[in-house]
Amino acid sequence: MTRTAYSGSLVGYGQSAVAADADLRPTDEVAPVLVRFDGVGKRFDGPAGPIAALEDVGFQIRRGEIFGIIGRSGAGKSTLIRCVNRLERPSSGKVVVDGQDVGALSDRNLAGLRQRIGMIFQHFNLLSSKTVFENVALPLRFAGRSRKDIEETVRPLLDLVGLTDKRDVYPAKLSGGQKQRVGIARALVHRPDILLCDEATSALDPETTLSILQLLKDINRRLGLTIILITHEMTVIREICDRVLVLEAGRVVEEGAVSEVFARPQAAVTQRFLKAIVPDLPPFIAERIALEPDRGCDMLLRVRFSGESARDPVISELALAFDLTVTLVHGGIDYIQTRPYGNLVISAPYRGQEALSGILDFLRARAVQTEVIGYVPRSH
Amino acid sequence: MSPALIDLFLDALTETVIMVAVSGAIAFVAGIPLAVVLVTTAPGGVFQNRAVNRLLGAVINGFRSLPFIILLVALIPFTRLIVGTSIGTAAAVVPLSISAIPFFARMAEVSLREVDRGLVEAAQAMGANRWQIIGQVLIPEAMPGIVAGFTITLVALIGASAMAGAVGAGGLGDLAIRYGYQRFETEVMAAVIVVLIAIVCAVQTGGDLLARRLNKRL
Ligand SMILES: Nc1ncnc2c1ncn2[C@@H]1O[C@H](COP(=O)(O)OP(=O)(O)OP(=O)(O)O)[C@@H](O)[C@H]1O
Ligand SMILES: [Mg+2]
Repeated sequence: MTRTAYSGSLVGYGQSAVAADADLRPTDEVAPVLVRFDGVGKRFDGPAGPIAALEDVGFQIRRGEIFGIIGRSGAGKSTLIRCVNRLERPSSGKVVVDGQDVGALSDRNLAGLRQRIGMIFQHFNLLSSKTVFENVALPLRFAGRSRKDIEETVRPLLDLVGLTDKRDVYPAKLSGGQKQRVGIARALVHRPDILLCDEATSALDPETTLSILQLLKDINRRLGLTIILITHEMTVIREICDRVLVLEAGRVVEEGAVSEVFARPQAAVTQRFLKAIVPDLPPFIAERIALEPDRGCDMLLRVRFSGESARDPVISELALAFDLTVTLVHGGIDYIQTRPYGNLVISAPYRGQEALSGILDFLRARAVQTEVIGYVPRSH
Repeated sequence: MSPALIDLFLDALTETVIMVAVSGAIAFVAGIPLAVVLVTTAPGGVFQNRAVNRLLGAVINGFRSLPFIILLVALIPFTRLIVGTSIGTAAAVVPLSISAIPFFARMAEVSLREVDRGLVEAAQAMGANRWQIIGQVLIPEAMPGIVAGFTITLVALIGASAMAGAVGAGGLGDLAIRYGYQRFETEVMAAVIVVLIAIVCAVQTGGDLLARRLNKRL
């Protein structure tokens, strides 16, 4: 109800209203370039001489994309994303956002640009002295908007992120996931075109991470927002990104569609990142994992269970209930003290999304954490 | 104590309260801008300026290194210039303020400096200008610490005001010296001590309470 109200209020908000209504994601061919990096370099003066945080970085991001940037600690990810809204000024090259050279903007125009670029942070950066409502309202207060205007803008956003009942609470009383939701609402308050996320889920547990990513994806679809997201976790990229750029020591080492990069990682760093998601799988399987199912493929599931459910014959029940041939690919059961912990990778024939959801429901109902790793074409 | 003595006592109490309240208010109003200048001109601050930062830091350190009793005497010409006389309660307010301003500015500076840089950055990313960052981010976030620092400043002022008797400013300290010490009226001395302790406790408790109410981090 309230969500409809919000998207309704977006009518007249350029292309995004259309995208929101039809849930059409602009494809690479039609969407215009929104952000362009052109030979961007950034040097910092360190105690032991200059540090090259970025070197000759060039890439383009199209409107409506979720663009992921992955790299190890110190690779220059934060520096890169901060160049988009000029929190950092490049030492060389230029950054162009929606046709404007960011480096050439006057102070006044920079403030205008920054209103069109929302940003969320790893540690949320909420003001402890202000309530949830006041935090979300802050960008509007900076812009000198009226009290009534602020009230009307903030209320539906709190609804959107599911925090209406926390409106007058101070951030200290919120969980990490709730704080990040406040951060997201605050970032959306000027109805930006771009949302920058600097490790927005790195301080959250896996489950909360998933819910925040889901929210971001939802916002991307419904508001047509372009999202630039930094992470050091390949799972985050896999979960929501359309395209990914791999940064290593300040340089772009790989860039492409996520499905493409996952299927055929070129750079050694990328391969290492991918290995972290599917550890220890035999290479002949790991190399063939696809993100999307294909006709007659097998699906790979990671199942984790502990305590009593580890003693139950869950896997054989699954095989019986769905008439599946389940193959154990990898894993085993460990005992920590006397409590069993199972972590298995199983493979079974893929029979469509509906059957897959049935299987996931079946496993989750038995307190088994299940995750789809990917799909492997059947070899024989 | 005789009724006459009680009158004297009440007058002295009023003088102390006036001295502390007025110079405290001046220190608050002048100290916060100084602290803001110190923090924002420091490296990485929103008005980064090494020269201003160094100069102001040196001036503040200079004043802070002078013992109050010396400041009191050294400032006599300046006091006369400002209040027209160098004797009395009003005259004592000048050196008291001059000693409290840098003291409180340093306290407020620490609280302002402790505000997470990430908050400033978030505000910049929202399009805030530098004045908005100071007024709506730095100061509100530092307020619990500033209040705690101000409480300490007030307590220090209560102590310093006892010395102001040296320039005929009156006050409880002066009463204790003149009656309690020089005329051996132990009663007066004891009463002054009790009242001073009560005032300090009240100020500290009130300040702690206010700081705690302002602190939403818990
Ligand atoms: N303000 C600065 N002054 C000096 N050096 C800096 C500054 N900011 C970043 N650097 C250096 O630039 C390099 C890239 O830093 P950056 O923060 O962009 O890395 P990152 O990929 O975001 O790392 P992390 O995953 O740890 O956040 C690092 O070597 C860092 O030490
Ligand atoms: Mg970083």
